[in-house]
Amino acid sequence: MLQKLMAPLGKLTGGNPMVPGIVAFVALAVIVPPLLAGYWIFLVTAGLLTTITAFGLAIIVGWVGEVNLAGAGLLGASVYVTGYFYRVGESRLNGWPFIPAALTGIIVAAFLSGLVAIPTARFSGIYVMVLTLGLQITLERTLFSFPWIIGGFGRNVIVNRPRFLGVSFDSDLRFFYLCLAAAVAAGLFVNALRNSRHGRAMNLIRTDKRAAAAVGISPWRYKILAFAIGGGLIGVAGAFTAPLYRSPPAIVQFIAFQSLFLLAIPVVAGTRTLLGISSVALSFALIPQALESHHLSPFLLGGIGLIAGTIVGPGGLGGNLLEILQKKKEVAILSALGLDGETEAEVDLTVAPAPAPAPATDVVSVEGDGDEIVLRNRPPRLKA
Amino acid sequence: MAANGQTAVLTTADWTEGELAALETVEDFLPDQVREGTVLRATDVHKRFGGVQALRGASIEVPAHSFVGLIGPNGSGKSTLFDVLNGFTTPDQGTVEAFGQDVTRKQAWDRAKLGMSRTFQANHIDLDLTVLDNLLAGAYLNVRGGVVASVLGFPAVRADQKRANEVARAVARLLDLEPLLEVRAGSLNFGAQRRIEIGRSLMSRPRLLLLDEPSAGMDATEASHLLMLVKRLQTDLGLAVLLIEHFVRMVLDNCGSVTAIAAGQIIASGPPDVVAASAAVQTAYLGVSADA
Repeated sequence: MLQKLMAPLGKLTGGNPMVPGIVAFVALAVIVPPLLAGYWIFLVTAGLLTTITAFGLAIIVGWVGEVNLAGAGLLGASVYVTGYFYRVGESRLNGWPFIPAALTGIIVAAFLSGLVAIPTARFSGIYVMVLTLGLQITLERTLFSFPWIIGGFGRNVIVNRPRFLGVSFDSDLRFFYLCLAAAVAAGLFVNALRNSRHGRAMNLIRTDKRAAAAVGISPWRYKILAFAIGGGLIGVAGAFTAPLYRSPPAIVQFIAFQSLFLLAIPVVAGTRTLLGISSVALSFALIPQALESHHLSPFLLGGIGLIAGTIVGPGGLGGNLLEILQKKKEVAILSALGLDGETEAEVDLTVAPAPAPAPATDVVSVEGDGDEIVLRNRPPRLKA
Repeated sequence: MAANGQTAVLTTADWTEGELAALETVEDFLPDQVREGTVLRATDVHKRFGGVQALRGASIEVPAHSFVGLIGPNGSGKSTLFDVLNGFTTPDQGTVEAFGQDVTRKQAWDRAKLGMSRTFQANHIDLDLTVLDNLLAGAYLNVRGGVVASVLGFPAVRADQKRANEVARAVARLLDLEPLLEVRAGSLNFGAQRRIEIGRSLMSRPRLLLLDEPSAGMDATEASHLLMLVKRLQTDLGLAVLLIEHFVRMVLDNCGSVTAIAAGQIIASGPPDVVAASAAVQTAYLGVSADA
């Protein structure tokens, strides 16, 4: 029944097995929240913003294979910069409209993330981890320690929910839909980027930097680009987080431990499916609250997540699920070809092919080489 | 392999009609091939790694539209020379010219823009991606558009992507991968994975292919068939190919010219029969004394 309902959609999307799941996910996200209590709407909204953050980290961790330990710092930078410019005026620099303020926060996060990627021309792996950790600590000790930016330490700072084109997003439900739209837009962006030459280039860099360079891709350029785009997406999450609480959130939400918690999301989910990342991000946002009565720390969840992600392997939960779906498709293809589709399959080149029918083209040249004569159907068209 | 132990001399007259159509698609996609002269020249290349002198004045030339073999025992400097030619390693001394330009200090990705592509000894493909996605990764230089244009799907980007898709299918057809386009590379065996890597190189619109032991890990029969495929493509697409191959007999039987290297020095270069007859090659590489 469900398959029949989804069939037209499958045709539209080229039979992508994940599409029904994505549609169901978005449908649930639209339909369910009005039925929830305000507190849970607020939590799901926070979960959507965590999802956008995880999309950004997935580009850095999953696509170019570098570990970013500054996720929370970049998120906080965007939250505080956006909040500073957008909040109700304390100084002449406050009181900007939401969009310019949010863009400033996004640009700051993208710039800082891209900046820390510059040394990746020479370094990789653990050195990049240390660099990003350095960025995180630096942000904590500089930007996050200026009360006039973060608006904390006893100040009564108000960051209102935004208003566009006469529509107010002040209520939790409306703000939820705004964040849902941002999350869907971020997902579409990441999906389109992944299928573009830039996404393929980033993937090839993760697979092998030398192979990427051999086909014209500069690994350094794309690592910086991946960090900048990833940082920009984290910045988007930060920009929407700024008005989420109506007042600047405490810096404890953006410390190094929180970076580990955020990093655990793409590690557990894998980075091959956006649906997987979304599901894990929402779970990470909701489960600690749901289990609050058991006094479970969100960091414990992050720690368990990192361990689980390591055990599950580089594909993560989403990757493993996708592999099961892909395997079914492959078995069908390989069976149709009469090949063993379990683990080994190849068009066997060691077997002499059946004699091919003589091409209709004339023999246009004969090349001699010692005793052997090679007949050519057509010479290569050596364009001048 | 022929029954007499000689490797088969390869012919190019056995494309099917479908393959010929694919060949034309790929040929149209490729840039103008160099008609004559030298496409790659390395002169007096020296390279030292710590206490090891990997290359000692090595020089090599690849003429246009030629199939050149590079042979040498393990540790002779073949792969280091390839790295220097390709731009992964900067020589301590000497020059590299590609397509008439001095590229000695150019990065590998800049050399790729000139039409130089390369495969590697071990597999360097993404085993989690499908064959098609692996091939399309090679088309990076041939799809226009920045990040914004790509994400928004501007018409020029869409047209290039469509074209790359068509060419990837044609390449797959020529490499006997067409039915497997939607299968992940990791589900295929080593031979198919090597063909994917060659296909990805073709997708980068090369004028010169550097193939570093494409048949490494294969038996002689598989290697012979892969080499046959490469030679068919080289001949019919008008490419220049520089091949490192450990099946020496196959190289001598099928390459137009051969360069032999030992201990970082070129010890012979020229037509295969001349190289095979060289006392230095027989002594240093084939394990046969010149006096035997």
